[in-house]
Amino acid sequence: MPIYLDYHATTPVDPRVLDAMLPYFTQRFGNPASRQHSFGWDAQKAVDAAREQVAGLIGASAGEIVFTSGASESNNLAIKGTACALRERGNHLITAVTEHKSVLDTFKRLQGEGFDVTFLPVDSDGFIDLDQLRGSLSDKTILVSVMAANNEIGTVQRLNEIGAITSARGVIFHTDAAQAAGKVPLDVNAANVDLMSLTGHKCYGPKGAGALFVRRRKPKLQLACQIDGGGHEGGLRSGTLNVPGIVGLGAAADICRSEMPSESPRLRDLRDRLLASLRASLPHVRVNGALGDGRLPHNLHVTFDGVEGERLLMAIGDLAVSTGSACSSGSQRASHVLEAIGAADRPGASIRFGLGRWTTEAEIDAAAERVVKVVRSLQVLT
Amino acid sequence: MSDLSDLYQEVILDHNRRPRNFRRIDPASHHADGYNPLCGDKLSLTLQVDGGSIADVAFEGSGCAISKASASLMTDAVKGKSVDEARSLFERFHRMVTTPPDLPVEDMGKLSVLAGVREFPVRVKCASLAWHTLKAALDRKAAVSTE
Amino acid sequence: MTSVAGMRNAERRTRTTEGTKPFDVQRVRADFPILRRQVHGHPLVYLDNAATTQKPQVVLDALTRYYTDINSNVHRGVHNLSELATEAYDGARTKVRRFFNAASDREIVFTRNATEGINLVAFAFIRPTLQPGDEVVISAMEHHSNIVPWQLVCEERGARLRVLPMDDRGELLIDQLDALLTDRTRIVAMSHMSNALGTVNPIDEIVRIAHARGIPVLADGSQAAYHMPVDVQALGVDFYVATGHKLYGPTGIGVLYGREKLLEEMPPFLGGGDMISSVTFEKSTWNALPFKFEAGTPHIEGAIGLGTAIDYITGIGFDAIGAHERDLLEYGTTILESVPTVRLVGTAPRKASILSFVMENVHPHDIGTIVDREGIAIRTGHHCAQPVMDRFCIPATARASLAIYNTRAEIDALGAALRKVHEVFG
Ligand SMILES: Cc1ncc(COP(=O)(O)O)c(C=O)c1O
Ligand SMILES: Cc1ncc(COP(=O)(O)O)c(C=O)c1O
Repeated sequence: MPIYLDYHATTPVDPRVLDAMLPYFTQRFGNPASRQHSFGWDAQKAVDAAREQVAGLIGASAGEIVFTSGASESNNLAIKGTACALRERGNHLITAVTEHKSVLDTFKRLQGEGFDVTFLPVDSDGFIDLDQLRGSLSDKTILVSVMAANNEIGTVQRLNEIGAITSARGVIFHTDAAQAAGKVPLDVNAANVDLMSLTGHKCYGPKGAGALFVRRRKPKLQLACQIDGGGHEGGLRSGTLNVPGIVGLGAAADICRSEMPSESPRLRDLRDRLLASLRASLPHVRVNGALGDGRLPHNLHVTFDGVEGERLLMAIGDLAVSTGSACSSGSQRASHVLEAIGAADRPGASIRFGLGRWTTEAEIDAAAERVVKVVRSLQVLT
Repeated sequence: MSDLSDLYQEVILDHNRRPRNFRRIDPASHHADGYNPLCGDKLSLTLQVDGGSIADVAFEGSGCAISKASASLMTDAVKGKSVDEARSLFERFHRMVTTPPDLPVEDMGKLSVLAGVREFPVRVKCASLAWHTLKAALDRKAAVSTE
Repeated sequence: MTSVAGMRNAERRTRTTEGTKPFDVQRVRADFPILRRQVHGHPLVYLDNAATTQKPQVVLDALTRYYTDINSNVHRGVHNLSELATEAYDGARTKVRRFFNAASDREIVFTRNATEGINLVAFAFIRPTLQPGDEVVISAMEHHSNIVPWQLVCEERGARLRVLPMDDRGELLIDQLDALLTDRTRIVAMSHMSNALGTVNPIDEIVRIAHARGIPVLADGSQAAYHMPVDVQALGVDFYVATGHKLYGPTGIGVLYGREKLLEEMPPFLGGGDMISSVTFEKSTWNALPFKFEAGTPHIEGAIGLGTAIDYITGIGFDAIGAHERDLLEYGTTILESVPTVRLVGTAPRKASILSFVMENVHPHDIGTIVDREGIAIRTGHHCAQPVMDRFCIPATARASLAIYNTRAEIDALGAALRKVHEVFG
C-alpha cells in the first residue's frame, strides 16, 4: 500500500461523514425547496442542521452560510461578487501573490475588466507585511483577499491583524480558508472577516460541497450573485442544493471542530518527528515557510539541495506526496509560491507532505526512511 | 457586544433620533434645568400642571443617546399622570436603574429598556438626569446637577 | 497595471531602522505590565495617555525599592537611611534638571502636579504685587489648571484675565499676541501643547514677544514634556510646569521650573518644615532654593519614581519617540478620517499625539461606551478645557491620545470600533 501524505490535495471522506450522507441519496432524497411536503421539509431540516454545523466551525451564525460547490466557487463568488457590487465605490482590490489559482485567476480576470489589483508580496516565510497592506489601502480599495493558510507551504496568515486593518478602513475582507478550516481555530468575528471560503474535500467531507461565509451586518454586505436562477441561498447562489454533500460538509465540520483540540497537536508532533528524522540523516534540508504557530500543524514543505526535482519524483515511488520543483535549470517551473518566498533561486527538489487523520507514526517513519534513501542516492549521483 | 445591544436597544436609538415632546412649553407652570457635568448633558424641562395633573411636559437640550432617550421616554410616561403618580414613577425608575445588574427588577413597560444601563455604572446618571430634573421641577427647584 | 506593492520586507526593515537607534514597540510594550491585561474580554488598547500614561516596570520597581531598602525622611537625620533617601531624592532632582536643561538644581521645585506648580506661581509670584487693572494673558486652549488659578488671583485683586484666540484648526493667533500685551500685563501663561487639540504652541516665539515688553512667561508643559525634548533655556521661559504621572512616572509628583532670580525674589507658597532655615515665634528665615518652596515632608518616592521614569524616557530617546508617535498620529489621522461622519477637532499644522474628534449624530459619551466594550480606553468629554469646546461649538469630543507603547494595530482596533459606533447609530 502506498503511503498517503498528500492531504492538502484532498482527504478521504470520514466514514462517519459518509454514514451521515448516505440516507440523503436514497430514502431522504427530497428537495429542500419543496415547501409543500415532508420530503422537502426533511431535506430542509438537514440543510439547516448542516448550516449550524458549518457556522459553528468558524464562529459564525447559520444565516451567514451560503452553500456552494467548493472553495473555487466560493472564491469566485466572494471576489467577483464584491467587485461587481461595489464597483461604484472604488475599483481597487488587494490580494497576495501566494494565493490559490482560484483567487489569483479571478483577480486577473477582474484586472482585464479594468480593476486595479495590488498583489502583495510575501516575506521568506510567506507572510504578507501588515504595514505594506496598510500602505496599499486607499479610498478606492473595496476588497482585501488574503488566504487563511497556504496550500503549499502551510503559512497561516495573521487574520486577526489583517481583519483589524481592513475593518478600520471599512474595506471588505475575504479569506480563502480551504486549507485552514478544521485544522486551526478560526473565528470570523475575532478576525473581522467578512467573507470566508470553505470546502468539504480538504476536511474529510465530500468533493463538490463547499460554503461561503457572508457576514450579516448593518448595512448589509453587498454581493452580486454569480449564478442566476431560482434564488436559492438568499439569492446568492441559485441551484438545487446538493443535500447529501451539504449534510456531509456539516458532519465533517462538526467532527473537525470537536476533534481539533487533540488532533492538531497529534499531527504537529508527527510532522515535527518527520522533520527531525529528515534532518538527522540528510545534510541540506531547507524548510519552506514558517515554523510554529505560523504554519498548519499537518504541513511540511522541504527542499533538498543538490537534487533534481524530476528525478526525485520518479524515484520516490509509492509515497503519495506532492513535489514542487525549485529547479532553476530544468523543464519544470517552480511554483509561484516558492518563487514568492525566494526559495526558487537555488537548485534543489521540494516535497510537500500533508499529514492527516489516518497518518500513523509508522507511516511517518517509513516515509522518512524512504525519502532519506532516495535523496541520498540522488545527492550522490549529482 | 450582547450587553451593548442591551444598552443601545432600538427603542433607545429611535428616541434618540426622534425625541418625543422635544420643545419648550411657554409659559409653563413648572420648569427646571438639569446638567450632568461628566458628559456635558444639558436639558431643560418645562411642564404645565393643571389641578394636580401633568397636562403637558416637554424638554430641550443636548446630550448622549441615553440621556436624550430617557428624557423622551419619561415625557411620554408622565404626560397625563397626576403629580403623585409621576413622583412614584420617579421612585420606581430610580430603583430600577440603581438595582445591581444581577438582581431582578420591576417591569416598567417601555421604561424597562433603560434597565440595561445597570451594566454601565457611569451611564446610570445619564439615564436618571431627566428624572432628577422632573423631581426638581415638581419640587420647584430651578436647577439640578447630577454631580 | 499589476502593481507588486513595495519592495521585499527584509529590505524595508533595514531601511526603517537605518540611522537612528532601532525602536521596537513590542519591546517597549513588554516594559509595561498593565498592557498585558484584558478589558471586557479584549486586549487593553490604552489610548487615554493625555489623561495619564501607564508606568514601566522599572518605575514600579523603584517605588518598591524605596520602601523596601531606604525608606526614611529626607534632609533630617544623620543616619545612613536618611542619607540614602536624601541622596536618591536630590538625585531625582538632578535628573529632572538635566531633562529640562535647567541651569541649576535650585531652579527645580517638586510639586504635587502641574496644577500646583501653576498655583504656586499665581499665588507666590503674581498675587503679592497684583494691582487692580493689571492683566494676565492666557490662551483660548488652556486646561482649567491654567485658567482657574489666574482667575482666583485676578478676581481677588480686581485684575483682568485676557485670552489669546485661536483659529478653526486650533492654532493660536500669535500675530495678535503683541496687541494683547500692555504695560499692565503681568504674565503670559500658555500651554506648550494642548491636551484637547494636540496643538504644539511656539513657546519660543511667545517668549520673544513677551520679553520684548519685559513680561515673564509661564509654559504649561503637562502634555509637551512626554512627547518632545524640552529645553527651558532654549525656550527662554521664566516658569515651566510638568506633571509626573504623564511622564510615565507616579501620580502626586510634579515639577516647577523657575528662573533662579525670580524664585529668589518670591515669598514662600506654603509654610512648614523643610522650607525654613531658622524659626522663632517672631520670625522665620527661609531656606535656600528650591527647599523654600517644598514645605513639609515631600513625596520622596514620587520624586525617585519620576527620576527613574525620566531615565527610561531618555533611554529610548525623543528621536525614536517622536518618529514613532508621528507615524502613529499620521496613520491615526488617515484611519479616523476614513470613518464615515468622523470629524477631527484640532488640525493645526504643528500638533502631536492627540486625535480629538466628533461623529455626526453620536454623542462622544456613547462613542466612549461602545469602544470601551472593545477594550479601547479613550477619553470623552470636555477634557477640562470647556472654553475649547465652546470655541468649536461642541459639547464634548472623543479623544484618542498616543504614547510610546501604542501601535498601528491599536489604531486599527479603534477604527474598527468607530465603524461599529457608526453601525449602531447609522
Ligand atoms: C487554498 C485553496 N483554495 C482553494 C482551493 C480549491 O478548492 P476546491 O477544490 O474546493 O474548489 C484549494 C484546493 O485545491 C486550496 O488549497
Ligand atoms: C495641558 C494640561 N495642563 C495641566 C494639566 C493638569 O495636570 P495635573 O492634573 O497633573 O496637575 C493637564 C492634565 O490633565 C494638562 O493636560
